[in-house]
Amino acid sequence: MTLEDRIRNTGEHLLGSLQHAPDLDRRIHERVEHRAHQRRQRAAVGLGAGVVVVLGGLVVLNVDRDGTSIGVAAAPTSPSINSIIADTTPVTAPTTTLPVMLPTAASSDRPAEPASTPPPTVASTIVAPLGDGAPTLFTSIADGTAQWGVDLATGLPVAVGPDAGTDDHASAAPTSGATFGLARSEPSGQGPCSQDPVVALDASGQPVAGFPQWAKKLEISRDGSTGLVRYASCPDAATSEGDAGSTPPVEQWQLAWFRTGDPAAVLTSLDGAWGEMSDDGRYILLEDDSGAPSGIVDTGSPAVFPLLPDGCTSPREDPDAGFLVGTDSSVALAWCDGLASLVGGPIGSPSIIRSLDACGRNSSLSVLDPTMGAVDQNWFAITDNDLKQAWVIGAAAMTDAIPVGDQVSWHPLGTASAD
Amino acid sequence: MLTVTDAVGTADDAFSEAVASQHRRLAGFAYLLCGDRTVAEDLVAEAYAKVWPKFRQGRVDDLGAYLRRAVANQAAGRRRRLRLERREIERRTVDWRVSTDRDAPPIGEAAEEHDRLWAAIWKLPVDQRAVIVLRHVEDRSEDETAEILGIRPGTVKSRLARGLAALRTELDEVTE
Repeated sequence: MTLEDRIRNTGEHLLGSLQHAPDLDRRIHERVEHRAHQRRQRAAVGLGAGVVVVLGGLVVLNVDRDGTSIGVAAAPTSPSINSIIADTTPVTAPTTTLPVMLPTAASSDRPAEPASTPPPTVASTIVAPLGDGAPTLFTSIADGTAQWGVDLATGLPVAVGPDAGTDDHASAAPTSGATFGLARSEPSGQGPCSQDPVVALDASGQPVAGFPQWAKKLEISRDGSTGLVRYASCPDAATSEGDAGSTPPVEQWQLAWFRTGDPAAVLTSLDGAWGEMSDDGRYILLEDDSGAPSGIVDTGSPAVFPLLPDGCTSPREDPDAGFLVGTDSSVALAWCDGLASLVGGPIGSPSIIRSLDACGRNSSLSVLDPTMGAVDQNWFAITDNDLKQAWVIGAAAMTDAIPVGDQVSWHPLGTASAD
Repeated sequence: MLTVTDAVGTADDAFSEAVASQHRRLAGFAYLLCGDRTVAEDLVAEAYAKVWPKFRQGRVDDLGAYLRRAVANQAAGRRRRLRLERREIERRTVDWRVSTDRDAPPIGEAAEEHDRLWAAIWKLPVDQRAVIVLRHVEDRSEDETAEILGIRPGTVKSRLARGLAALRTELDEVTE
């Protein structure tokens, strides 16, 4: 029996056993439902400028400071925790779209803020697809799933597809404020690095000088200021992948970050396989080859801070993982596996980074993100899944469990006590 | 019973019917790619969630092929899942060796053959696995496989050749 026949026979055998699994349909449906729920939760976290999290699609917990609505400049010295039980209307995830700006005035350090032009809605961005052979900038406008391109001539976003889950290709590109994007020529020639050739193009469709010519993935921070690129160094004389008997080309993947205002000149190498950027581009959570977070890079003063959620998987790979950095750089929080593993503490002082096991290993602790819509934040608040207890974490202090609804006098750099 | 479209928040008969007609096959495809039933269910669920918005926008012509590509991309892109797979492979490899030591009966030998072969397949890169499954289990043509995975037919050939070569090497090593 040939190897191919053996594969067929055993594959059919395995499939046969699966086809008779009586609960397969139910289990998949449950997972779809769970995924949909997670997506609604994550989308809801981004609602408005306040610190809002939705649990179970039913309950809104709002953490205010000083018992008032979220204020951008208020000193975060005495957060109080109030629970607001919303009605039982299921929360609808908002359609959050980001403006696509081409071109944008560049600066050598921090590029200009994106213009205040209202972002296009998803519905209004569906324009005619680009013609054959035209360079297409792939981007992912934040509806979470759709892949969009940018018409280089007009700067308008256009729907690009079909393209299901193009993680393997250069589909993530500028969202907001960037002056260039990754392009994949269609149809492509035979590339030396086994992927379609992907290059960075500026708004006029020209390659960005000095930028990696074989970029595989590109991400731009939400504010458009900073980019993270994974690119390959390809041997010039590599063999074609179309030749079945050829030796696979050697791909040496590298990681670098840059300011979008000058992507070629400010390319800073990073020691990691990939990373996750904070919304403002200030911090990059590095991942090692296994996808585990290996440290945090401060792009303002390049240094890698250890923040190691032991055994965690990257937020990029694990929808239940994430990291937050206080905008004053004093405190960070990372979690994974639905917050079963949670670490937090002051950046740069690994000796007092703590495991937050004290919060209880509830499988679905909810993190309230104080960085949304606020500045100079240096604390985080988390709650348990039952909304009964909360903890507030600062650079040098962490509260004990606080009953939700109680007031707490607390300072992120000092001690905490429940009133 | 809950339907998929209920779960993603809206109803669409076409999507529901298409999904209902083939999601067991899709789950099988995912399972052969990753070797773990739970992970396979996750891959399928995620594929539905990703593809649904595009389907709703009329951007999906061949839903079956599109869902398979989404599953393959999910499998290839998730290192976490690969780590789980590796653990599963190690566990299965250990199980097989144990059963060899026990001098398993003939029916066990057939199971060993399955385990040994698929343990080797699950060690291959996901892109090679996907090509092998589509070509030799689902009996797809090169062109169909290329269309499903969004790659060129030449790439299908090369991935298949590399995958089979690696399998032969692995299986020879195991049987020594």
